[in-house]
Amino acid sequence: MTNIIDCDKVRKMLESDYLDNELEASGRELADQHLEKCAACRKTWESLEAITMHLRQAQRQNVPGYLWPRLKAEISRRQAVTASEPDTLPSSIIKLFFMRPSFAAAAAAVILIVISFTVLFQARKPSGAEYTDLISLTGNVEIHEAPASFGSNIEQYLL
Amino acid sequence: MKNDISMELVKKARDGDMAAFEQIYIRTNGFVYNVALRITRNHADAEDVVQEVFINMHKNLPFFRFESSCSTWLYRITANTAISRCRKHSRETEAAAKYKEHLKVESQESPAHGPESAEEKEKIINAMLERLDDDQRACVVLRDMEGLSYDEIVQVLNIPLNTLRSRLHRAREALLEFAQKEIKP
Repeated sequence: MTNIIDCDKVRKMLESDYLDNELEASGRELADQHLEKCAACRKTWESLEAITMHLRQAQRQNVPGYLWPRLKAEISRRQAVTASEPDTLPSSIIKLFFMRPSFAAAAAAVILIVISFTVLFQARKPSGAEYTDLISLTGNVEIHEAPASFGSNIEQYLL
Repeated sequence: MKNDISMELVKKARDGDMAAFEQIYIRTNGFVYNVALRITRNHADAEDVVQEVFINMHKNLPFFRFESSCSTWLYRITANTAISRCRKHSRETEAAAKYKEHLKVESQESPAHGPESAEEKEKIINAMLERLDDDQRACVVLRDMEGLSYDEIVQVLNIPLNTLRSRLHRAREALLEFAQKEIKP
């Protein structure tokens, strides 16, 4: 019976998913079948196991006791510096937005509504050509200039 | 993930309760220090990383959204801080130079089946980690020394699963090569 997968593929599996027990059952079975028959891959596997065992048995190092007082003092020092600096308006707004997501959502909703109304108002405002059409539809014989030139008429009058 | 912190404790610390923050520190400083130490391979750097991590945590507690566990968050800050410290000090530190010096002696003296004393074991472990680049080292430390699953490491390092697989594969190739060259009789 020949091996279904080659040594390169098995080696890759051994060096990651197989070693870390992350391989699904079918893949594991294939690798096991290969290992039974291939002495070179078996040797690789034994070395990998030994190396990993070494790392897993590494002694946990104790945290030096002086770190907490040092850390606490540094936090207090930074808090004192921050407290002495007045909050600028942009930083206060950013803080408010991050710390109160509901406030940020409400502000976004208000901005969206304002933008929608502005766009809607602009869209409904008649242009000069539309204004002329409206007047002609009402049957008014005298055709006025469109209000777009209103400002310029005043300017002409003043001049 | 082990060493997890209750939401209650985090909320207290977030509201400025220093005793609650100390409790978080006591429960988590072990893994923060050990991950930092294994990635930087230097006690002074590891201490600086611990300080930076907890200052960062304290400062950002108000923004913690409980979307991931507190431990995942801490592992992430620790790994990132330690890796960036390594990159900052890419030139050889005095400690790393000492390791290399030791390695020369070790390769001549190592017995066939590994070291005897705890101190020798520790030196071999550090020599092995020295062979890996910063990203590979972080993956090996989180997997083999901290016992995190692939899913957890992917979350902590914010990398795709296949990137993790590839880093572990390359790291173990390097470790196998090291073992064949250096720990042979």
